[in-house]
Amino acid sequence: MLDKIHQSRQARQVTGEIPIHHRYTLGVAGERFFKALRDRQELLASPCPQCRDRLLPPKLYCERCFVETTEPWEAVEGAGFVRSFTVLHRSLEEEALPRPEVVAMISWPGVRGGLIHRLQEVEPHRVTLGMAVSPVWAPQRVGAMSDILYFRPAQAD
Amino acid sequence: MLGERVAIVGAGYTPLRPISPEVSFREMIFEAAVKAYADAGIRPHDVSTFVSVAEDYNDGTAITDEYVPDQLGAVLKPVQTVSGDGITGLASLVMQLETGQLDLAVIEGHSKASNVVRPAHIQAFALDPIYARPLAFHPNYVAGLEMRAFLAATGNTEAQAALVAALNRASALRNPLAAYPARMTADDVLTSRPEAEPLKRGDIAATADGAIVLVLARESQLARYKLNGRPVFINGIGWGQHTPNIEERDLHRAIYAEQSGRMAYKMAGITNPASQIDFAEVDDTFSYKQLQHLEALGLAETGQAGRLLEQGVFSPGGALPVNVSGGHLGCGYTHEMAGLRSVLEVVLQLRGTAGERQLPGVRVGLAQSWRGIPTTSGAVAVLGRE
Ligand SMILES: [Zn+2]
Repeated sequence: MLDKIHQSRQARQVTGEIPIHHRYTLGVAGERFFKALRDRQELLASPCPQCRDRLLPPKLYCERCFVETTEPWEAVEGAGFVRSFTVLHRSLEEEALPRPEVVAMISWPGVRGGLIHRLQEVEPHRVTLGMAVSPVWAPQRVGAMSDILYFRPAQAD
Repeated sequence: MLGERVAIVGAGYTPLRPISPEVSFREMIFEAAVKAYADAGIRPHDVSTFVSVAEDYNDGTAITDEYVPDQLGAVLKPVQTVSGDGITGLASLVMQLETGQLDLAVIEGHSKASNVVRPAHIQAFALDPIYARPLAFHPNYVAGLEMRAFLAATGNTEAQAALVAALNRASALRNPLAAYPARMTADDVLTSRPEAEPLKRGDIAATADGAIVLVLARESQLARYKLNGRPVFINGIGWGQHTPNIEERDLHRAIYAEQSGRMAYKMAGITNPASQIDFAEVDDTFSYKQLQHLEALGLAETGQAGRLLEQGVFSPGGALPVNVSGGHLGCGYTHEMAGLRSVLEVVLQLRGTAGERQLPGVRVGLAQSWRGIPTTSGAVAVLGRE
């Protein structure tokens, strides 16, 4: 073999793929979170009686204290803020995005956790850590992450 | 402290390559196994127990552990597959030997990354299916979020991360095993294609194919087997995990590395890692990870890793050489095998057989692994010549 193989495809091989389909149960906490999202456009947080943190997304238990969260589950109020962000240039299919997309980790004051979502209506180079943002809701909501279309800079009231 | 010490007494490996179209992954493992047994001066039927590190989705086979024994000489022997990084698998093997019931043990790691047609889909499938995965982002966004948070919290810079990538690829020029040696500057990295800003193409380790097999023995058994070569002792080993929920993480910290470092240091009696560790191979799947891991492991003060890098402290001639092998950026990222590749470099250095890149007079080396995005799992091994 004097000629080096440069491409995997030049060697003998077979290909294989498997379509994998699953169901994922939202669970008690997920069901309650997504119903509030769908029906009231609210982001519910569940309080931990031990560390006093309010968890978003809400959970039935606090992973740090290993105790059950308690009532009441209240909606987060006001604008969120950008805890970190990245400007993404590639799709899941490894194709260059025609327009780079800002993906942000968004938190709220007094809340532990937050949501990952896209940030729009702002030029990527204008996004800053700590920037105040609020959700833009889908007109038709089904109780899923897609009920939030994206986040955008919070409007000054 | 360990009950009885365990030593690495044999190592076999294939060179790492971007693609390996003419050999199957099982044939690569066979090559590494034959070399490891020859290196240790044993036959596979002397071995009591085997561990393989592998992930079904990366191998493209469900229940992939069923495919392990044949090419290792492990047929009709106890074999266990650890679905985790190489050093976590090594820890499991050390614990088996610590029972005192087994004499010789073997660990295998492999990567046939070039056969994974859509690696991003596998990483995306590891994301939370309800809150994170439906957004269908390229999973590199997790590293982008982390990198920005890390740089902002510590004061390390994008240019210092870029320098990690340039220096490691340059170190790989002296490593015949490496798949991606290159002469490049930090500027080349900074101006490479943006991926998940601040992360750029040059900050990301490309994947490689290869196989590594290591033979382990208890200290009391070393004489019995007339084992060739110089044993390298595993004086400390530790592992850790933070949380699968990205929103729960302190995005700037590598808590798994802090935990696993503490555990391994305690076992090895290390109280001042920066002065007691002679050299280290730390995970650099992404350039910033090397800086983050060095700080998490106490090998640099918080916020100082980038500055020490610029001063040459982590260079081959510096006070604490880091990734003299070229790291994953220079050698290629090899999935579950990656941690074993770091261990292999430490073994070669401590044996004094690292060739052109041999560090003079090294006695204690550290290898650290991370399981890759989107995980917060990792492990640390502290190895010594005595
Ligand atoms: Zn709590």
